[in-house]
Amino acid sequence: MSAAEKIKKLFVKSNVTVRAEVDDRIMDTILRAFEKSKNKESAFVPNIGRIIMKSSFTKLAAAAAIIIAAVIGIVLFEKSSKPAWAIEQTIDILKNYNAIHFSGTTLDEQGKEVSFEAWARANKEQTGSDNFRLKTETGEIFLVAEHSCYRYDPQTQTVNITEGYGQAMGMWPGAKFLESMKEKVLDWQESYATDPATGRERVYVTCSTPAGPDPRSLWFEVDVESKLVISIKQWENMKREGRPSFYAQSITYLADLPDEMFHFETPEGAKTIVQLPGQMDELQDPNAGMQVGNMTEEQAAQEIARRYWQAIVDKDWDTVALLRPITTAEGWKKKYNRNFEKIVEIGQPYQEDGCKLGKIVPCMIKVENNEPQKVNIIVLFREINGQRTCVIAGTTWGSE
Amino acid sequence: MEDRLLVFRCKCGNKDALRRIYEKYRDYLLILAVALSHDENFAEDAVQDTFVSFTERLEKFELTGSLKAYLATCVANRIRDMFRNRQNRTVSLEQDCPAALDLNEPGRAVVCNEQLQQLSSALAELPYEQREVIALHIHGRMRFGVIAKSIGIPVSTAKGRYRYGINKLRAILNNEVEK
Repeated sequence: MSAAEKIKKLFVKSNVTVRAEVDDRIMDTILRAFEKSKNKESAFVPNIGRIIMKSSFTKLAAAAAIIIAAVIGIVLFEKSSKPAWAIEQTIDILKNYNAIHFSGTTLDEQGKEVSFEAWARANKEQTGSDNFRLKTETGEIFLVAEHSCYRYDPQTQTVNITEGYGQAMGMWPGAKFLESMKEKVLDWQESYATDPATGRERVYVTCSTPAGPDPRSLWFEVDVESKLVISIKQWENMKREGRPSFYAQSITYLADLPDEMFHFETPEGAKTIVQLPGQMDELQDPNAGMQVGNMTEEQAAQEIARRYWQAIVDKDWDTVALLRPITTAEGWKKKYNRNFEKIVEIGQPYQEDGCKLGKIVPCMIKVENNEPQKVNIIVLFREINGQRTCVIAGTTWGSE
Repeated sequence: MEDRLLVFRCKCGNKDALRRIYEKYRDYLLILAVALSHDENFAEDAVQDTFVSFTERLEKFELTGSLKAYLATCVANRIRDMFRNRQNRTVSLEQDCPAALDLNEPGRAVVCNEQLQQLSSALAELPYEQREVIALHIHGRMRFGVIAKSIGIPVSTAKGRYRYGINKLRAILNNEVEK
């Protein structure tokens, strides 16, 4: 063995143990330096944009304010007595921000609460996000960038890359979304309170929203001075019952985020699996879908979209699952638990740049008690056992 | 990418991100520092100073390469400065190392295992300039070009120091085996 190899081996086997109190002392020294540098007049303002809300203290104080207000009835007043905030102000302010950072909790498939931290950047129109990064407390990473979706599972040490899988967030929580929400939400209620810790005024808004066919209700908190939404809770029902499916406890608004935030680096030792979205097992089920026959792709795409929505209107869940095989009939029944009244319009199919899934069919659907909603259906064409068929690979909901 | 996010979050004022960086690289940097200084107190000071300095410079800090390599270079620079200061006061670098690490000394802040003790003792026989290049190249996995740039020497000098150092270590390690 050469001297270099011996040294390398010794380095590999080297180990240090630091006494806990020493470790704490070092960390304290570092944190003191950190606090000191933060308090300098020239404290860091990222060159990517201005951070408006970033303090977890503010967030905790706001949460405390709700509890205190409930217990001792501190300064609570009606909107009519002090119209300190109007959603239009928030809409106006949000136009300046193209990126957000948010952290909080969500529910996984088993209903377990999972903490996450996420970054997102809006598309040009501010109707959805082009780039999205989310990391959970268990180390899972979900990243969407350049029309590809990356999922890293630390348990299996696997990175699944789905190429051509477009938009990360169907809606962008910006001005356009709020404008649309303002017009369409139900039972909007505001209450005002002063945060006793910071003295800042807060507005707490509750409402339910028909942003898509899924029932949703929202609670959000607005900082009156900055006019920005600083936390949001969302429930998958109209009455804010049970645990929220999504809770952004802290939201930071940014003018932009650096590109590098949305570059995916494969963790060391992880294996990578690359697939086109059409290669997903469920979408390759030969028994699923609709025969294309003599139809053109445009005709077939429109036809499968029409059949799909008609089956939802008729509550024919077997047909829904046949045409869109990513879940079972029972799964669709559970998902679409509202009354779909009718198909208003099936639009002309088109191909979107970067979307390798297939043709997009714009549809207008009327859901009970709501205005017609626009929903884009993505149709995937397949050639299985000599048969040309198509399935519905996905939808994008939007308020456009 | 994680490091870039951590740095970004630190710059946004997130203490947890700073703590994560410290916990992530503490042991790695301590091993490097002990190997370079042959003195745990020196090593502990160098690592603490490196993190404090990193924290103080966060505002203007731009991560252009690897954070690990950046911190390793800072530790090496710190230890070189510490030796220089001590050298100015007393004797030469080569004679400045403690005789040996005593694993059994009570109350020590940083406890090194046998391999690190052996490694540190062997490296202590070399001039600091040589052990620095060897440690950064082998432990830090840094290329000679990167090392040369960070120390401010030509690449050929960095390679030369490495070669001379390794040759000496061969004799040192063989003697230890014979003993």
